[in-house]
Amino acid sequence: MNCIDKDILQRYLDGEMDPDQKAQVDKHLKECQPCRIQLELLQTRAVQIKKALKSLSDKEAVRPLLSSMVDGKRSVIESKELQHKNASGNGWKPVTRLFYGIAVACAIILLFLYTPWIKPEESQDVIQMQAVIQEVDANRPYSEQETVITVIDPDGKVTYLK
Amino acid sequence: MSQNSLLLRLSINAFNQLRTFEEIYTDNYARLHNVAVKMVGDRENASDIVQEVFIGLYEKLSGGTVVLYLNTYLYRATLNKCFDCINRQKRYSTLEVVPENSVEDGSLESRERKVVIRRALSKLKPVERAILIMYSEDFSYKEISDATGIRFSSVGKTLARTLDKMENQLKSQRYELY
Ligand SMILES: [Zn+2]
Repeated sequence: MNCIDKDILQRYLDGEMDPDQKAQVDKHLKECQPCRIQLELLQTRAVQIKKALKSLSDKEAVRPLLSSMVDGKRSVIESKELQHKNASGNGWKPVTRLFYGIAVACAIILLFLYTPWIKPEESQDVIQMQAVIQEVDANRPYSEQETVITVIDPDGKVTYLK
Repeated sequence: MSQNSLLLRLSINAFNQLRTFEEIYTDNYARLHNVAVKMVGDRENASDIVQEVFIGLYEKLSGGTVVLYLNTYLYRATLNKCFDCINRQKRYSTLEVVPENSVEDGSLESRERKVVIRRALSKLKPVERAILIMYSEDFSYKEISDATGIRFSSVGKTLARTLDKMENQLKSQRYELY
């Protein structure tokens, strides 16, 4: 076997290599001292350059207050919400809203429990789920609102159910 | 709804946990800021860039967009804005003395070393700089590929070449690596 290219050694030391290729490299390294030395140099270089760049990190970076950052945006957002309220405004009390919020949450949980397409015991895959409610308006009946349920499986595949 | 409701708008992280915008902001600000400072070479532009990134995210989330790959989104947005900034100004490459250096703590030796490192970094192409900075922050090749837009299969090669360049730049300024 020929000696190993620098970029392959780089991937090797970064652990970015499939097992077959890694086995090949291991085998060659056992037999070839120049490649072992080369690997060691690359390793040291990587560590040193990482360290050098890390030393530039700004330890005093001050995070601006979130409110100061979004304050400019807030007036726009508030007026949007106001319009929304006025359009549907039947002026329910907070307690009623809370009740509706809980009702929506329960409905979603029930939906999950009774939805036939989730049968974890039949499959070895773990299905991870997440419900995201967009714009639940507590001032309107739940039946009139669209609820989008987002299902994300472990591969990151996303399914939207309405 | 209170005005805070938007700050509590939910997003999902890689572990499928619900996160508020505020948590995302608190958890990621410093690291993104560091990447930006190293990219563009000065603190002020870096702060503007990171702020713009978070405002962008905030608008996305408040518009109802579900951001699935939050880290990729944040780093990609930050790097893109850094590239824009570098293109706009073309200043960093010619900048010999980086102003923020003067307010830095540490011994003279460590300050000098930092000047040397910055200068070496400034000699790299923006995308090479991005690779190296992400690499130094221990990101995987996949994450580097996602954030910089470089094909995954060529990250190793490009990284090895960039490390060569950086090594030569540092050596030419008598910076001891070994
Ligand atoms: Zn060899």
